[in-house]
Amino acid sequence: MWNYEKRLQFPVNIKTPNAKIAQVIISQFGGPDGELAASQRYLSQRYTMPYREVAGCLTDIGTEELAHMEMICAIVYQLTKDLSMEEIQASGFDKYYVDHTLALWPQAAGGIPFNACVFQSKGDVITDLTEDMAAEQKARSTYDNILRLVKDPDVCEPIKFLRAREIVHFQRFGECLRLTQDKLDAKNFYVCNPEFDTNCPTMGCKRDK
Amino acid sequence: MMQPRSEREMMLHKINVISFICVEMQLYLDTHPYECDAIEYFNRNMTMLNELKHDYSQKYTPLNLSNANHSDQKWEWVLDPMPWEGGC
Repeated sequence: MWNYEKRLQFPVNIKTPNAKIAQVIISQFGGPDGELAASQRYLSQRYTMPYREVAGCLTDIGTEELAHMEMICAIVYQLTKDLSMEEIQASGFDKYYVDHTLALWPQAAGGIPFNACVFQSKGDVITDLTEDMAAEQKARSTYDNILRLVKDPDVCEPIKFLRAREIVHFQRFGECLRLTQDKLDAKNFYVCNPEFDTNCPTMGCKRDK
Repeated sequence: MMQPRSEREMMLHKINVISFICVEMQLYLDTHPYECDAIEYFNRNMTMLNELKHDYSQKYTPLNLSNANHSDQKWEWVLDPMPWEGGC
């Protein structure tokens, strides 16, 4: 279960609204490499993970992604607060506004709604961890792209924090993959799927007990 | 990042910093569960974090319900600003 802690992981205090930038940053809420997808990817994959270290890592990183989603939503919320109708129209935010007013709704910057197809939960530890490492790099690239567009330091600082977390998570998933390979047949990591095959030991796999 | 000014902001900043150390050590220990030095470092910071959160809740506002300083008169949990409102 989860407990809510009433603070952001890193402070967000934006003094100048900017609806144009909000439309870009919202991609890290509901876009293909966003925090919602990240959290649901890891928190879905963890149940069938055969190794405790990996299940623990997915739980804890998945939990941190929920805190990142809250930070992104706080950024978008503060960037779109107190907008005038003129600002809404001039910034191109009117297309979002007509459906959601100023509420938060998970979509990509291009307006595409959040879709669970942007991530996988495959039930194969090597497949999933390889996806997780790629996901962290894709999110890092997105934050790099955002940082090229944003000039306001109030927005840059929390985005830089989130970018750095992608790199740490990539490192931890890399260690998870190494731990997994240590437990498999070194001659052929794919000889069995330890999340599914029950006869792994006879197939040359060392099972984690 | 806005420099914390008031005593309250400074205390919350300290909670954010120590909590970050705990998250980092937690993730590190997930893949290195037998590293004694890391466990010791985590424990030390977690003790400090719990004390800070307790003190902050007593003095200002509850960060979570387990260390809330409940009043008989009002349910502060919902009356104080939400974290996305800024200023915290």
